[in-house]
Amino acid sequence: MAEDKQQEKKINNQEVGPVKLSRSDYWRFLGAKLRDLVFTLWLMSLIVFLIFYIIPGDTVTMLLGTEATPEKRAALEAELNLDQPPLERYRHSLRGLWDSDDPSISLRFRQPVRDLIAPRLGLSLGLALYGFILIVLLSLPLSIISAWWENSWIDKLTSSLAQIFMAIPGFFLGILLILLFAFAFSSFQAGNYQPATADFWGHLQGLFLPALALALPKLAQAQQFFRAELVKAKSAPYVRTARSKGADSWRVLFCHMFRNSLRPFVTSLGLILAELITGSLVVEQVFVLPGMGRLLFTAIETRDLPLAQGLILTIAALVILLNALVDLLNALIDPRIIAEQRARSKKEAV
Amino acid sequence: MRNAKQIKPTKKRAKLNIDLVLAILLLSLIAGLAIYGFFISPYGVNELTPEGKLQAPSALHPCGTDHLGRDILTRLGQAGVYSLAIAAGIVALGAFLGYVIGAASGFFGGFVDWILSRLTDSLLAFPGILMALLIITVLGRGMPALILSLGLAFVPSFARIVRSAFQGLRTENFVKRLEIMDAPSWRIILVHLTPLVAPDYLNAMVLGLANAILAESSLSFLGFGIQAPRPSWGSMLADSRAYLFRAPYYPLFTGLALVLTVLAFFLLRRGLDYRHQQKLMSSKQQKEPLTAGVELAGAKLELPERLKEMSKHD
Repeated sequence: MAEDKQQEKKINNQEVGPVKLSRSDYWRFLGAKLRDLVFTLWLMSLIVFLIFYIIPGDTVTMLLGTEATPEKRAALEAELNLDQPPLERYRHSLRGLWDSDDPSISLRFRQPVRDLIAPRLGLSLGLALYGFILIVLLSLPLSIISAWWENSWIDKLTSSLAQIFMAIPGFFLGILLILLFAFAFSSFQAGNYQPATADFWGHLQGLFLPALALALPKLAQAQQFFRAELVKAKSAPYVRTARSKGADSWRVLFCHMFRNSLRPFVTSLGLILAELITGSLVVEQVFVLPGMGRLLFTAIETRDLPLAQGLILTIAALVILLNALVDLLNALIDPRIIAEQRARSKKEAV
Repeated sequence: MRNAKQIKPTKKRAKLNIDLVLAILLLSLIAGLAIYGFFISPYGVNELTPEGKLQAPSALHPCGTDHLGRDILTRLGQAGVYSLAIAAGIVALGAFLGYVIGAASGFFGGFVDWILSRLTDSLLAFPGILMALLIITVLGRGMPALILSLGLAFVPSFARIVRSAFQGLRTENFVKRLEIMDAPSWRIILVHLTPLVAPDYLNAMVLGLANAILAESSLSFLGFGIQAPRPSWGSMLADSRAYLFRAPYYPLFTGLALVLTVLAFFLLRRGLDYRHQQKLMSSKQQKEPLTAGVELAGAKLELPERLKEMSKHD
C-alpha cells in the first residue's frame, strides 16, 4: 500500500512537476499578479486617455458652438486643460479623480467629478454584487442537479430554459418582471427604492427585481457552464479511481469532482462579474435607480467630458480589480495554478 | 411476435438535428417579418395611421399601434433588418481584428504574446457596452461609431479563441516540419492553420452575431444606438416603458422579436456545433487503415480489392 502511494507520487512528479509549494511561491505568485494588475490598470488608463485625446475636430467649438467669445473659449480651454501638454493632461485626468486641491470639475453639474461619483458608486456596485450572489447561490445547486441526473427530464428542462433566458437581454427581462409582478402580485413595484441607510431590509427588497433581471441571463450561462464541467468530470480517470476504491456517489461528487471542476467555473464567473457591472448600468435605467448609469448617460448626452472620463475610468478600474480578486480566489481553490506559474517562470529563466 | 420485433434490425439513421431545424424556422420567421415590414405592409414605417395611438392588436394592426399611432409590426420587421446589418458589421470587424491579434499572439508567443495579451486584457476591462459608450462619448452617435465601437469591444473574445487554438497547433509536428522547410510564417498561418481553426471560428462568429444584436439593442435602448427615423427594437422598448400598463403588448411583441432573433442564432450555433462533432466522429470511423483509399497529392487513389482484403485481416 505504501509502495503504491510512492509510485503514485512519482508519476505525479513526472507529470506536473514538484507539487509541494513553499511560502515564497505564494508570494512570488502574488507579486506576478500584482505586476500584471498594475500594468493592466496603467494600460487601461492610457487607452481611455488616448481615446479622449483624439477627439476629432475642435473640442471647444463642439461644446460652445461657433459664436462663443474668445474669453469664454479660453476659459473652457483652461478648464479642460486643453492648453497643457499631453503628458500633463494625462496626469491630471488621473489625479483629478481624487485630488481635492485640483479636482476635475463636471461641466454640467459644476461639482468635482469625485463627489458626483462617490455616492452613486455603492448602488451600482451593490446591485452587481447582489446579482452575483444570486448567480452563485442558484447556479451551483442547479448545475449539480442537472449534471447528476444527466439527460433526465429535469436536465433537459433546465437546459432549454437556460437557452431562452440567455437570449433575453437584462433590460427586457426587467420590463417583463415589472409587468409580471404588477399584474400577478402587487407587492413589488418598480421605483420603490429605499436608500440602504434607512432600512436595509427594505433596500434589499427594493433591489430584488433589478438584481433578478440582471442575474437571470448570466445565471443561465453559469449553470450551463458548470453543468458541462461536471459532466466532463464524471468520465475523468480520478472519478473512476475514487469509485473503484468504493467511495459512494455523494462522496465522489462533493469531495472529488466539485473542487476539480470549480476552477474553469470561477474563471467564467470573473467574466460574468465584469459584465454584471456594465449590465447594472442598463438595468438601473429600467428601474429608475440612482446609480452610476444615469450619471454616465447624462454625461454622454450632454458631452460632459470630464465626468464621462472619470466614470469610465472608475468602472473599468473596478472591473480590473474584481477580476484580479477572482484570479487570486481561483489560485486559493486550485493551487496547481501557482505551481504552473512557477514552472512557467522557471522555463522563462532557463 | 414479440421476438420478431426484437430481432428487427435497427435502422441506422442520422439523428434529427432539432437545434438546426428550429434555428432555420426562427430565421425564416424573422426574414418573413422583414419582408412584411419592407414590402407587404400597407403602412409606412413612420406613417401615422388613422386608427390613432396605442391601439390594441386587431385585424388592421396585428401587433397594435405605438404611442404615435404607427403600426408596430411594420416597425418590428424593418428594425430587424437594421439590427442584423449592424450586427454583421460588428462581427466582421471584431472577428477580423481578433483573428490578426490572436494569430500573431498564439503563433509567435514570447514578447509579442505578452504585449498583445496585456492589450486584450485591458480591452476586457471594458466589458459589454462600456467600450462602445467610451467611443460614442468621443465620436458622437451614428452608424459608423456604433459599428466601430462594438466591433472593437468584440475583439478580445475573438482574439482569445484564435490564440489558444494556435498555441495548441504551434507544437504540432507538421508545423515544425513546415518551418524547417522555410515556409514563411504568414503562409503557415493562412494556408495551413486557418482551415483547421475555421469551423470553430465560424461557430464563434454565429455566437458573436447573437451577442452583437444584444449589445446593439442595449445601446439603442439607452438612446445611443440606431437613431430616430430608423426603427430599432431597443429604442422601441425604451419608448414602450412610459406606456407599460396601458399597452403591455407593445413591449411584449418588441421583446419577443428581439429574443427570438437572438435565440435563433444561439440555436444555430448549437446545431452547427453538433453537426461538426458528428462529422468529426464519422470521419474518425472511416479512417480505418488502408480501406478507404490513400490520399496522395490531393488525388484519391482507390486501392485494388485484394489489398483492401489484406488490410482488413491484419
